Amino acid sequence: MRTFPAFLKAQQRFAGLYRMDFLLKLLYGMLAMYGVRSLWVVLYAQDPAIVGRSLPSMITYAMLAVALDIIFYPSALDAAPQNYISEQVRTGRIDTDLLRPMDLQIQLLSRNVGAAIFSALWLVLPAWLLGVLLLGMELPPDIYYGVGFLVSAMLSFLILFSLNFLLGMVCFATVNIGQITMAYSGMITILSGKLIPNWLYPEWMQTLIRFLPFRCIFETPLNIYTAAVTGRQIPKGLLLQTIWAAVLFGMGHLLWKGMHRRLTVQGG
Amino acid sequence: MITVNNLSKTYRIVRPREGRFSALKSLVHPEYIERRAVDGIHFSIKDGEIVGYIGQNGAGKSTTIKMLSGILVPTSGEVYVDGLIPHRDRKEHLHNIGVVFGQKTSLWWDVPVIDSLHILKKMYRVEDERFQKNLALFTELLDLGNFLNQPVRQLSLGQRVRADLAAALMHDPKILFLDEPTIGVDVVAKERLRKFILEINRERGVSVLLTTHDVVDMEKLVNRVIVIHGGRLIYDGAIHGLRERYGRQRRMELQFENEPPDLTLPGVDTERMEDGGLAVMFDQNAYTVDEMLSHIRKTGSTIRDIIIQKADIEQIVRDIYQEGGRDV
Repeated sequence: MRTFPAFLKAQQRFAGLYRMDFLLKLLYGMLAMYGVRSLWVVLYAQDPAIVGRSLPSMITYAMLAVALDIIFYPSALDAAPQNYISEQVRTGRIDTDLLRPMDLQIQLLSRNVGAAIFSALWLVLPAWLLGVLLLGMELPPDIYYGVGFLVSAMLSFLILFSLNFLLGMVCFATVNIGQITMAYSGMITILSGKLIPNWLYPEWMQTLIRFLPFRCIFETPLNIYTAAVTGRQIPKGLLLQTIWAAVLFGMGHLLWKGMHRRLTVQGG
Repeated sequence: MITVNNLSKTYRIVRPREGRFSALKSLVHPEYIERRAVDGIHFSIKDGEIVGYIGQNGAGKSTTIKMLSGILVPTSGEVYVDGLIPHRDRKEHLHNIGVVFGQKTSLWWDVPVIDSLHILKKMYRVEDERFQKNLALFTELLDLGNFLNQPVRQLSLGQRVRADLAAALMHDPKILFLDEPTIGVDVVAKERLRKFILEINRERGVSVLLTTHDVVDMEKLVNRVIVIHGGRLIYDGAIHGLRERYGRQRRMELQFENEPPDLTLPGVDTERMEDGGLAVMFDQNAYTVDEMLSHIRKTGSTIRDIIIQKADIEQIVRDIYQEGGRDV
């Protein structure tokens, strides 16, 4: 993890080099927030019962989901582990990663953290301020919920990283991850609560979602921020996130260990 | 510094099948064939040596380098680098070595060069003072100044290799492995790389093992060559020894007034050139130039022009391959 400040700095310099790209991303973030807000305003006007929450709470949920999405999917550097791994495997450069005195999983985590902190500071913070000041986004009810949200968002990040890393491991076996990535992104979009809040799904689907890690990525932190859970439920949510993070990160670690052995013994 | 004993590496590769459903069969029940990439080689390299490791494509050079750098486990035999077993003492070993692959960068593709160097500084825990000193030195010697802030993907090949070299040396390794560092680089840039490698070797006592196909690299950089062919070691010694042993090879390029003759003599190779002439390769121990010329005249062809060349290192290496390293 000692390299993440260096990766953060690299990301900042990169944004400086591609200023237009950066500004477009900022603009995209704000437009996307405005877009989901308008969508829920219209839906709410149709029938408040469908939404099942107050309008301010709902638009806060939706806009914050867009903001988290921007932090979680840094696109400026090739920071997402699955993209990095598939690129290295495709070009045969994965050898050079074995030459580093640092575990690949930790190295990629540092890189992803660096990129995420950059996005949080320079893309999401301005968009969030704008949302609060102009678009009617709510603040968390008190500091307890606020801190709970921040901790939960960090755990979300770790869960998503671990899932992405596992996807990267799949890439070693198949080289091409195009189709799998599509299915995977689809699952995250539909089942994580990012686009469609899970409480709008039929009962059987909600049950299914309860046993999958995806809802821990968006629904848990967003429900804390919007106080859709009681204060007593926050530790429970965080604990569940911690368990998923540990299990998925550990699985990635074991798979990489096996893959590393295969690479060094068989030579790829 | 480096000791290699009876080192072998066997790859298991899936045998391609023919006929119906061949792809499916290979997937469900793969058949393997074994390929010996490196076959029982011995050598040792002392502190401060620059050794050329040469051989044709697929001879086992890169496989050896990978085993020496610890990213490939040998099938059998021993490797010691500075007292460590590379694949077992991997992390400690990686601090002792620097590796550059001419064909692929080990820098982060989309990260500016200077940031890559800072990331490596953290990874290898290089102290600030040492880092600044190295950075200043390498920037000057390799002329990195005007592309330090550019991402690697925007660099030319020559710039990229220079950046890679600087990156490989940031943590002051004792040994440098260079796998075809000058491949594809233009003449001026090649010269700069060679000067840099010599300088680092002289000033810091860094031992260098480099693979190359470039004759000039060998003549200017290397004091000793190890030749590998088909995974086996076929020559290990001074570069001038190679030339002495094989230096009586001649290549005679002939132009004729009429049709070039078919020349079949034992121990002589011929080759039709693109301009219609004939190249004749022979050893002066077997034929004198005079004998060769009279053989050609006997065929009834009239010689219009003639050039006689000494064999270069490349030719010599090719000859060693053909002889299979006999009497080495």
